[in-house]
Formats: sequence, structure tokens, C-alpha cells
Amino acid sequence: MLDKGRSPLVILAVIVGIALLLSIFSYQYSILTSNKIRDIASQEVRSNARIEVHGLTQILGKQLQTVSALLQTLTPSPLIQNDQNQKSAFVLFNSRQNSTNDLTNFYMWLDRDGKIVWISNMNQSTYQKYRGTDLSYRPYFTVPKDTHKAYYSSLIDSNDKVPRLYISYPIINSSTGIFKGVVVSGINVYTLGNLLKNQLFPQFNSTIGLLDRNGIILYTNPQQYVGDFIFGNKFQSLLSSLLRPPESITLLNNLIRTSLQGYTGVGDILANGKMSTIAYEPVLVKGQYFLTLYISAQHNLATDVSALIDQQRYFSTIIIAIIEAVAIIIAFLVFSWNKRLATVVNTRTADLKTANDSLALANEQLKVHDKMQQEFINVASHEMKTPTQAILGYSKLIRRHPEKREVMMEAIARNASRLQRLTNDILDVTRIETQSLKLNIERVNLNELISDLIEDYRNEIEKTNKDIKILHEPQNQIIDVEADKNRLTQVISNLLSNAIKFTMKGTIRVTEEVKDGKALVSKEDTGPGIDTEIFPRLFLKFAAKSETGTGLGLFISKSIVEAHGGKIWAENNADHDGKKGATLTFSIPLSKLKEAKLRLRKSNDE
Amino acid sequence: MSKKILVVNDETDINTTVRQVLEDKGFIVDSYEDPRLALENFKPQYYDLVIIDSKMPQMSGFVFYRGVKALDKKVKTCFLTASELQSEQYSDDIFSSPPPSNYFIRIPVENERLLERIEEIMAEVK
Repeated sequence: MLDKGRSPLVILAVIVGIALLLSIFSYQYSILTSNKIRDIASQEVRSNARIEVHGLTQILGKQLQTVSALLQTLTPSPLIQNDQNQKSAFVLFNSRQNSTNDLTNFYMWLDRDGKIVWISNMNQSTYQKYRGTDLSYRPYFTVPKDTHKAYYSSLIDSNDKVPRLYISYPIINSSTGIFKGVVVSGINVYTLGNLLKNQLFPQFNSTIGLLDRNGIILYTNPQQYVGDFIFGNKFQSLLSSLLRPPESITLLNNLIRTSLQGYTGVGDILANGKMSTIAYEPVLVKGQYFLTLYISAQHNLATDVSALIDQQRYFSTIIIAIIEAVAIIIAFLVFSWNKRLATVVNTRTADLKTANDSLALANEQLKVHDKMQQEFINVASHEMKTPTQAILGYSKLIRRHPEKREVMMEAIARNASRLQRLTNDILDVTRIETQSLKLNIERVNLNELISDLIEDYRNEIEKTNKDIKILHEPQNQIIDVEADKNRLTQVISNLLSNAIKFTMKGTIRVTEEVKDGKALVSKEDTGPGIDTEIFPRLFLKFAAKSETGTGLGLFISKSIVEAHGGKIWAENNADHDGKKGATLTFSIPLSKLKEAKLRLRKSNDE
Repeated sequence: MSKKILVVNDETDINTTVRQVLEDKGFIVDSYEDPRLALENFKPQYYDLVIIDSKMPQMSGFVFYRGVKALDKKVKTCFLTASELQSEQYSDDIFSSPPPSNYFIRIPVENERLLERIEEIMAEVK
């Protein structure tokens, strides 16, 4: 039962433990999965950015290559070689501008002194305005003039305040090798930016940046920073206001520095809690590093996935918690049901045990009863057969021995009375057991009754050889009781004859008194006392120790006393002067007190 | 020579009648009401039969039987019994083997029948 009481707690603890382990495992697993998915998503963003930047770089490179090629093919033209300032030469410029006008603003011809000869698509008025304008200070003139090689400019603010990139080729006389001027193409960076923007894959959430090789911003969104130095105060203060944490700015600047050395690469920048990938690749024109293109893409997918996974994680944690709670509730229900069942089983078992015990007890009582019955049959048969035998023997002998007639007649009579007593006893028991014992209640003078009985028994003792004295002190008080005189006589006789039977030598003291409104009659003898084996069932049927007795006397006496509303009890006397003996006492209701008192007074007066 | 019989019975009237019946038939009879006295005064190799009451207050007839047999191994015995169950009840305690049932004379019994039974028992060759 102890084990049963303890095990539910253990099992509950195990369930909680398993549930906790499961939730921890599930939480860890979903973190792992979410990180993996985020990594995959990030990887996707990174490779997409690289693909995009590479694609755009190729497009841009190709376009610029085309411009560069168009410029290069101008220089060997005889019209230009021979300074033919005429319309047919200008047409060459115009047609080139028309073919690349989505990228270039203009194609321009400068003479050997750096003065404007022609700008594509000029009308008469602008021709008049700009012709001869000196641009000899511009690097796109000076560098090819000095190097006789193509020049790719950094960002230059033009005279019309439009930021442009320039590609220029020197015009070298093919036979003399003398420098005769440059052809220049101007590319508006805004146009360039728009071109790039249009090339972007529309569903790819990204922004473009373009720097020239000196770190000047050619394109960005917003466009107000075009022309600014990327590491200049203006742009850097914008970054520091936009980017958190500050380490991200350092990271970004390092990335840009690396890219400006002409490298291809990719890097992740954490901006305001969101991860962005920046991919960069240099734009080469004829193998020469010209620009660097940047594509920045936010890890939106990754962030979204991450949020979803977080949501799933919380959800599965809640599910596990619910399952755990349900498991605990079920376990609790099962245990309490089990406990209730155990209680019921225990109760039933206890009931069964009680029933069993009482059955066993009843069985035991039956056995005892059986044994007593057997004992009674033995005793009764002895008690019946002995006097019968005596009567039978004497009645035959009496004829043979007429001289002993008197003695034998007396013996026959004695044995006949003995049979009669036994018959009466058995009849009494039957009456008691069928509850048909009838009392003929009358007022009885107890003192007189006892005195008369004692007198009879004194005579009886004289006939035996026993040395027994019956002591009875006469009372001053007359005790009247309400009783059946014959039955009361029967009780007192039984007590006296028992005492005489068991006492070999000594005294029998009889007293009567009034106590607590009842008459008490006591008989104290100096016999062997009541056998301890008999004592507990002294007043039960067939409780006999004598070899000549039915064991019915005290049973009948008790029944008679109780029928009168009295009680009977026995005690073994304390052993004094080597005399033991037993005392039997019974109580019997007094006659009405008033009358008793009256009679007392009367007797005193006499 | 007259046969000698010892009668032990706590019931005075039984003692008296049995003794009288036996004496009338010419037996020499000793009788005791107290088996202890009977044992004290027992004369070995003297009696031809000992008639024992099976139920006596001072000593059970079977205990008395053992006492007698200890003093006189060969003496014949029989029991006078008023009980319903005797041999079954006491055989295990007293006898190594159950005694013949005719060792028990149940009372009440007519005087003539009693004599017949006694003569039968005494005539039996051991």
C-alpha cells in the first residue's frame, strides 16, 4: 500500500520530466532548424545579389565598351584626321550619339588645343555658343594628349552642372603620329543610374550603388549624394544617422575600401536590426578598372522565415505544454481513480474479512455448542441412567431380601426424586429457551424463606458424613421481595446444594441485605472455588465440573433471577487461612418500600 | 472355590445393588465408592474380576484401570458405564488397541443380564 501511495508521485514526476525534456529538445530543434533555414535564405540572398551585380556589371561593361569602341572608330576617320570641319564629319558624331543615346549625352570633338570643334546634335545657336570653348584643362583632354591612350574619367561636374563620366580617345595622325585632338563621350550619371535600375530584376528587392574608382558616388538613392566622396563628411554623417549599430558603418566602409581596389566580393551588414547583403563587382572597360557596382539586398525572406519559425516554435512549445498538462491531468485522474478503486477494494476486502471472521466465530461457537451438546448428552444420560439402574436393581432385590425392604424402598424413592429433579431441570431449560418461563409473583419474606431452606439443608448435611456448617445470622430488618416463591426457592436451593456438593469440610455463610433498592442474597463457601476453565461460562448451559451434575442449575438460576429483573454473579474468594471458596450473589427487586417500612415499624412495636 | 470380584463405583446405590446381586450368586465381593481407596487396598493376584465405573469424580475409570493393570497385569476388568460414548472417546488415551466392546456393560441393565455378562467375561480365556 505504501508503494502504491508513492508510485503515482514518481510517475507524475517522470511524465513532467519527459515533457520538460521534450519541450527543451523541441525548442532546441526548432532553433537549429530556424537558424539553418535562415542561413539557407541568407545564402540565397547573397548568391542572388552576386548574380545580379555580376549581370549588371556585364551589361554596364558592355555598354561602356560599346561607347568606347564607337569613340575609337571615330579617330581613324579621314574627315577627322584632316580636320575637315564640315557637316559630313559632324554627322559621324551625331549618328554615334543616336545609337547610344540611352547612355551617352553627347559625343564631342576637341582640337589639338582643347577647344570644342563639335558636340553631337548641336543646333546652329548652341554651335555658335560653344564652338571654340577651351576645355584643355580637363583631364579627358590632357591625359590622352600626354599618353596617346584612351582615358576613362572619374566623375566630373561639367560646365552645365551635370555630373558626368567621360571616355576619351586621342586623335593621332596615322602616318605622322602627331596628336591632333580628342574625341570624348559624356555619360550622364543619372542616365547611367536609370539604365542600371531598369536592368534590375523587378522582384529582387534591392538597391543599386555605383562608385567611380576614386570613391565618388555616381549613383545612389537618394540622388542628392551623387558626386559626393563616399568617405566624405556629408555621406558619412548620413550613414551614422541611418545605420545602427556604429560597428555596421565601420564594416560597410571596410567593404567599400576593399571594393575600390578592384575586387569582387560580398558582405553582410546589419542595419537597424535587419541583415543586408552588399555584393560588389568592378566594371572593366577594355580591361581597365573604371567603376564599381554595388547591389544591396535585404534579407527579408530570411527575416520572414525566421519570424514564421519563431511563431512555429512558440506554437509547438504551447502544444507541448498543453499535451503535458493533459498528460498530467490524465495521470492524475487515473491515479485518483486507482486510489478510489483501491479504497473500494480495501473496504470490500475488510467487509469480506469481517464476514469471514464472524463466520469463523459463528463456526467456532457452533463447535463449542456442539461440544457442549455432546457433553450434555453424556452428562444427562449418566444422570438418567444411574438412578434408573438403582431403581431397576433394588426393585428386583427387594423380593429376594424382604429384611432390607425399608432401606431399599427408601433408595428407590431417592433415585426416583433424582430422576424427577433432572426431568424438571430439563423442562425448565426448555421453558427458558422457548421463553415460556412463567413467574407467579407475590410478596415473599426473604428472611423466612432462607431460614427454612437452611434448616432443610442442615438436615440434609447430617445424612452425609461431611463436616459442613451453614451460617446464617438473623436480620433485624425484614426483607420483602416481589418474587415467584417456588422459583426463588429453586435459586437458593441450587446455590446451597452446589456449595454442599463442592465443599468437603468447612462453612457455608448465607447473608441477605438491602442495597441500592434491591435485595442481595450472598452465599460464601470454603470449597475449592470455581475452576478457572469453567468461570467464563459458569452461567451458560452444560457448564459442569462435577461428575454428577447436568450443568443446568446455574443456567436456570440465572434465567430465573433475570426474569425477576435481578442479576447474578460469582467471585472466587481471596485465599485466606488456606481457605478459598466461592461467593455467589444475586439481586432481586424489593417489595414496595412503603409497605416494607410499615412492616418494620409494626414488628418493632410488637 | 468362590470367585472374587472388586466393584468400584462412586454411586452408593449402584455399588449396593451390584454387590448384592453378585453376593446372592456366591461371589466374594469387595466394593469401594472412592477409587483412590480401592487402589490403596488393592490385592494383586487376588481378584478374578474388577468392575469399574467409567465415570467417577475422584478419578476416571480409565485412569483407575491403568492403576489396577500396573498392580496386577493379568486381572480381568470390565467397565460399567452410563455414558453414550465410551470406548471411542477414551480408547486412544488408555488402550494401545481398542478394548473388546463386551468389556463395557451399559446401564441400566437387568440384574440377570448383568450376571450373564459378568460370567461371560470371566469365562473368556485370555
